[in-house]
Amino acid sequence: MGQPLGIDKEFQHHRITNPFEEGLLRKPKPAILTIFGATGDLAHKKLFPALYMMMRQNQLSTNFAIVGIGRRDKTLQEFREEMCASVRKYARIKPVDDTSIQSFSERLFYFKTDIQDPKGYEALSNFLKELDIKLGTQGNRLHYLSVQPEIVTTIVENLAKSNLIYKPNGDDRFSRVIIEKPFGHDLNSAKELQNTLRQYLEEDQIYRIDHYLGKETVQNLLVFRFANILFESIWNNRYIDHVQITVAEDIGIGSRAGFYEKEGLFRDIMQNHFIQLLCLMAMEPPANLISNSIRDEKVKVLQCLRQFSKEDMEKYVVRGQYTEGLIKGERVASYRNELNVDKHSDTATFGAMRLFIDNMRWSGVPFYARAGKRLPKRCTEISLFFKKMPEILFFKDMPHHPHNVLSFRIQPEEGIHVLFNCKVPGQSTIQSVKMNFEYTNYFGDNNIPEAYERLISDSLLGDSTLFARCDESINSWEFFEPILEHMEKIPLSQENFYASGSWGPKAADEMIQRDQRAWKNL
Amino acid sequence: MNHSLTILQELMEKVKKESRQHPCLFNFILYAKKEHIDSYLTSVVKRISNEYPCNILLLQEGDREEIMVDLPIFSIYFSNKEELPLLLFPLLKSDLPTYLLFAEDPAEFSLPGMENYITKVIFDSSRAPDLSSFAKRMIDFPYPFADLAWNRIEQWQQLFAEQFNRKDKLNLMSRASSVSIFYKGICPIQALYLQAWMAFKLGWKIASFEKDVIRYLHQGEEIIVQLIADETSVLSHGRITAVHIESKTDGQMRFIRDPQKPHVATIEQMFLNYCEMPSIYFFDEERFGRSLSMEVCKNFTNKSLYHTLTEIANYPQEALCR
Repeated sequence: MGQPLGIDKEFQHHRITNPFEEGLLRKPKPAILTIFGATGDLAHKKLFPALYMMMRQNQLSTNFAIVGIGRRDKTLQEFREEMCASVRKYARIKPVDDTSIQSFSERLFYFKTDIQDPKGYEALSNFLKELDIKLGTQGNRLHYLSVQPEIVTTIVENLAKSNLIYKPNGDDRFSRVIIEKPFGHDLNSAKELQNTLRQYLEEDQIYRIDHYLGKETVQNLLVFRFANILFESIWNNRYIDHVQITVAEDIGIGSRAGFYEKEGLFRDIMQNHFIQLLCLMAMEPPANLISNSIRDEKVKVLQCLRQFSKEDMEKYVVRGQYTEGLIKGERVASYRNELNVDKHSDTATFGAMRLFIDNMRWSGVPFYARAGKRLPKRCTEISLFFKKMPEILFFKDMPHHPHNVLSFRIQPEEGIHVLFNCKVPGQSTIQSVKMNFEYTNYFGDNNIPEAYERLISDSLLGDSTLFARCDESINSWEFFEPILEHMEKIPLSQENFYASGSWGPKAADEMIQRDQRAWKNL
Repeated sequence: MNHSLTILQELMEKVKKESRQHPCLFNFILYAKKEHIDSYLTSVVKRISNEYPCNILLLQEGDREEIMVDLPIFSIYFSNKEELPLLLFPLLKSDLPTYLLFAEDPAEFSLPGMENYITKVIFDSSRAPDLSSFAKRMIDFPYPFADLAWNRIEQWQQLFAEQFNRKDKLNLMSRASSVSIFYKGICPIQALYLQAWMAFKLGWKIASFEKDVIRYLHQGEEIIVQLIADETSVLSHGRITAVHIESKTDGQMRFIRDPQKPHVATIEQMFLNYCEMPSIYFFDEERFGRSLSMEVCKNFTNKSLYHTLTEIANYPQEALCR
């Protein structure tokens, strides 16, 4: 487990009660993790392999059980075999040894129920109580809701009615819920979701997961900024010309047409992943590393986002949709020809925008964001472009000399790169050269934990630093709602379409060129 | 001196040949006599180098004698310690911390001229004649230090940290009347460390020390700690194979490593009114190198190690001699 970024009150208290914990890596309490949607893709590919790795590295209590909840008929044996097969296939470190997979398998249980049926929850409650007695899991519950967003509130209501979640009552037990994005469809539904959740849970029992925040590179943003005076001192509008954030995917929507048609790119990426990256990149230093201090600073960034005027929205918000094209040499279909997509769909699969953070640090610095599907490569990167040197000395006759650029590659090939100017040997030319730091070079492939390992571990420990707080989500919706409303009024026109394998519609290039800048070549 | 310069020239040639830039986090110097470079020591260095890219140098006293170690290291041979700085300086990567693993008797530690260049010294107290003299020496040691023997009990510390997370278990521990620590072979240093760490954490005060039996007092009650040699395990010498804790008022807990599969431990818990199903704990040997390298990267001495050594320094030396 990596060094904790934040230590919450519970942990501090916990540390005092157990004298042996001091100075050692923190370990979670005994607990049962229930996974709603345990037979889904995410569970197979990410959650169970992550849990296995956590167990293998002693990041789970020995008194721990995982209960998969599903509606399909399945014997315990079948469930265990399926999940262990997924672990063998997707575990971060292979091969998976027999003793550890056997022990992991013994912690797995399956409970068949219709998750919309309240009666099933009573039976589930009894089942978990039996496990508490057998396995010493002490009544602690973490519920992972890997389900369609529409049924999250139904599950939470039913969990509460069966006392499977409860507000803290002073005893040692905990009950927590992990929910996945989207946290609402718009501002109203986000508020509604929050109101429902808060009827049954305190805010610190709700873990809104965004797997981007579990990535080492994202966590390192804060360390990089606030542990290096070299960079923190120039991290402001005096030295930074502009910032670019790109979240590019080469894949299409796959089998997610139902979800994507409803949500689109702005809700799927911009409103959450992008916003989280922006906040971590732009926030002020927190007062301390406790989760709420960090999240307070993130919220302040959101509160300083300049709302778009109608005119600016037309000029500085671009959307697009992919048409057919070539990805890695393979011909791929247009969005409208994807399975289960409306042939006249106006859903955006690409977005670009320029925004401003109106505070002392960032006033006047434009932030350019672009995200999309079926772009030439999978790549998430934040790049800070520094102001240019005066056009004297070396640059006297070179008005278009390059910026110094500091880039954080979030995925893939996680690392940090610096572009700076250098004299070409034997010539009087100045050339931009790249200094690379890559995680795997320094720390090896196997030592970088999967985002889900870190996030599940933190939710078991009660550390919510790497999860979105309610007001982050609400503030983000407040910013995006007018943009979404504006876009929904106007159908896509020819200029919005882009060929798969390109970097989006021309309008995205024109948007940044209007400011005499260009997108970084990724 | 001529001899040193020839060696230096040879080394520089070697460096030039392999001048491709590699990532490097720190310099790591292994100081060991040939006969002490065993598979354990090699595995420690290997794990550190697997974990982090570093510049590994092997310091060997005496004539050049190739040692077959499967590691990307430079070997430096010296006949007199005064030459060492001259041999070492050109090979140290600049601006990086330098950690020294001194795999000989800690009492022999001295590297004249190198004092300002070593960030932390890692000893192996199992090379010392007894733990008490090591402890006494370390209390006033001028540099940050670590001890391999201490790192070898880290998994047991983690197990304790995890297991004693409940009131009933903590009560049992704090009202323990006897603790038996089983260890492989003849060297009880890790067992001594574990019990001294427990005593420090729980505030036990030492009452008497006989060979392999330590009596503590806590809130007026006596706790008897026994160190028992155990030959059944396939674990290497000195490793702790089991811990039994018994309380007259609360019950007992046993942590037993499987003799054939030592990475698996069974936990048995019997309280006065109930028993818990035995559970399994994994001694993740893979983490050993990691905990050591994490330890190495801290430029200070582990607080618990220091306090535990302070406890041990009070033990009568004759009782700890092997």
